[in-house]
Amino acid sequence: MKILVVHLLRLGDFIQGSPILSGLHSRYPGSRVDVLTFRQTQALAPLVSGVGKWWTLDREELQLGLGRADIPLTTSFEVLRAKLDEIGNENYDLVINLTQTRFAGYVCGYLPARERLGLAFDVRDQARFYSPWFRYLDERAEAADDVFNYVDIFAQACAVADQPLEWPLRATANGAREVAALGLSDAPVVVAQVFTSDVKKDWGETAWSAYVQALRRQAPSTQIVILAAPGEAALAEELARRAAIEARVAILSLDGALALLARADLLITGDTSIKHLANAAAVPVIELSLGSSDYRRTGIYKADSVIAHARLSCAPCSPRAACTQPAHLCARALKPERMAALTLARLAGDWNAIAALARDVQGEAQILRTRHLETGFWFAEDLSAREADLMLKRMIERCTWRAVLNGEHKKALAPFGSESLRLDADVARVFPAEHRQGLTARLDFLEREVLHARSEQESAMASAKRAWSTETLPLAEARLYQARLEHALTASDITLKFIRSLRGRSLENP
Amino acid sequence: MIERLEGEHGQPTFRRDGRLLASRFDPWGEARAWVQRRSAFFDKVETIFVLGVGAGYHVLELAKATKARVVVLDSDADLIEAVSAAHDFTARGIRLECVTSLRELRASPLVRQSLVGSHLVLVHAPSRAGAPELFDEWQNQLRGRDWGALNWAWQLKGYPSFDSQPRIAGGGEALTIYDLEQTELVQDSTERTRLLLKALRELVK
Repeated sequence: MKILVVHLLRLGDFIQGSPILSGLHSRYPGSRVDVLTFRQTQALAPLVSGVGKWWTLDREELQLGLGRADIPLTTSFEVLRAKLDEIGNENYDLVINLTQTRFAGYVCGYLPARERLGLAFDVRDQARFYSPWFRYLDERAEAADDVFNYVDIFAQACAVADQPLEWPLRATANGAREVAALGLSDAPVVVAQVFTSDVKKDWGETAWSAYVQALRRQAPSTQIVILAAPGEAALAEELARRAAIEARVAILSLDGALALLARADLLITGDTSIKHLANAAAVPVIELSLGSSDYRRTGIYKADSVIAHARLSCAPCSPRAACTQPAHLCARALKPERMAALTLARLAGDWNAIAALARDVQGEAQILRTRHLETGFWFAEDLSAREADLMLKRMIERCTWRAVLNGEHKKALAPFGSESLRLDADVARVFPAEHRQGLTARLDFLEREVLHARSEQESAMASAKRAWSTETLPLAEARLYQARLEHALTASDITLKFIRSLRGRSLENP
Repeated sequence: MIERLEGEHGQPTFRRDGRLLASRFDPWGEARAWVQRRSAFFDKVETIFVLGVGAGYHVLELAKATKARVVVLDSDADLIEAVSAAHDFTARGIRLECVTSLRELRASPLVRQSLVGSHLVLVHAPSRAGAPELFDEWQNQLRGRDWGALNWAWQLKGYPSFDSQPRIAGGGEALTIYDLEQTELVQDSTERTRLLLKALRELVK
């Protein structure tokens, strides 16, 4: 079987989605999995295993051809067509689009395929998704209460979520040589990824300087390494000099960066491709989720990582707009001394200390622990336990969404029983014993919320039926509205099932 | 009048009507720089038109830098002959054609055949100086940045027409992908071609 995975975004996005490649090999043994990316992403090729052919499009070149009057207007068209026709000649059995952009949708619509997953436009400009999970991604991409990490959505959509996801990335001998040249000792190594792609996501040189100084005071033997790409060398050296940061600056390729992460004892980073790369190494990660970073969707995927995030109504902000605040408040909310203490606690694996820190800073920041739930989802647990109700609701919502999107409620033997067992195990793990005493009350509250919402949905359905029976609502609109209400009612019923199941177990096992 | 001269290091160069067509000191270096400044799409297009044979160095350097077919157009048959005698173009698969008008260019089987696939158009400035209006007509025709030229090239490629009533208006500004977006082909048809045009439109949003 020949599969093409289309990933036409940035390098970090590709890394984030890369476990799907491994999953496809497991689901379709013996298959050839090819990829289509933008040219820059191909820099990862030596590190990625399991890819057959690596196709690329040169986005900048195509844009150049469109923009410059001295280049024939048809050149970009012909070049794109020739490349896509060449790809099409492979006669792929399955084309998967992991890119939720219109450009990728048109490209995938043009490519022939026996089966498809993900966005593809047809010749009538109709967007088709070929999976309720990709439709979910499209419809809820901007929604504030979106519940799934993108990796989970991809895994569910591609039906590879029933096995542990593996990152198919390995450092090579070249990377190892780059790290060897750094001359690191055996003392603990903390790697700091200081630069991000967006100034709003940066913590700032003052903060980094204070962080390094605090870490040095508390753990003088720690080796602190500022990681930068070759193109950032001058910036990194300048930062270290200007901020008087007592740290080694490591200018490494991606290969070298992965090798360094394999050696490191901890990575502290903003929302960067290095963060996603760290999923392929054993290194614990602290993610500083600033600016437009949305940890709910793109947070560090591996379990037992820490995410620090400011409690601000403006966070996360829009990636397309400048900061709306008079100062970089989200960065200021993460105090360097606290982050240094967090670093040491994580190095020691002391989750009690991290939880205590979370409670100390809960007024201005959230400290979250990433988990992989029994129900198969990524989850960020608020260690201050301040939002226990919201966490419980989110855990249940995930199961509800999966049941609805996979159509499990339509099956004769829907797996609610086994799902409830897994959900119960997750609740037991996330809510320590002392909090389970309040669990029944929380579930009662959630049940009342859902029943209230359900009642409103039923009223809306009755009103809608009256409206289209008296033809005050156009038929197409009426059908769409009805479908959405039925969907909401189904989701409410499923949520109630899970709530009642959890409550039953909670009462049995107080 | 065409004069063949010997350069500083013995390499041939040419002067036409008193104007040098390549550096006397380092024609190869000059040619390499000319090529490097224009290298977009070199590895992807099927044909590169060069307007102006000059002293031939830029053509030979271009042929080293690309696997595309190189088609050289010039209006001066004597110059083409003289430069061909100084360099071996055939070994590199370079095609030279003398055209003396826009009509001849449009009628040329070599040009028409080359336009079926993807192409670039590069202009050799010293050559252009000898016939600027003619060269500008050729480059406008081959670059397809007005409706007349674009429709002509598009038809040669065998694609469905942009519009049922072909547009011919020129206007001052060069056509862009935004203009193509407004055609019937993109707005109303069910041709697969429109998916590519819409994809390209997304790249410049």
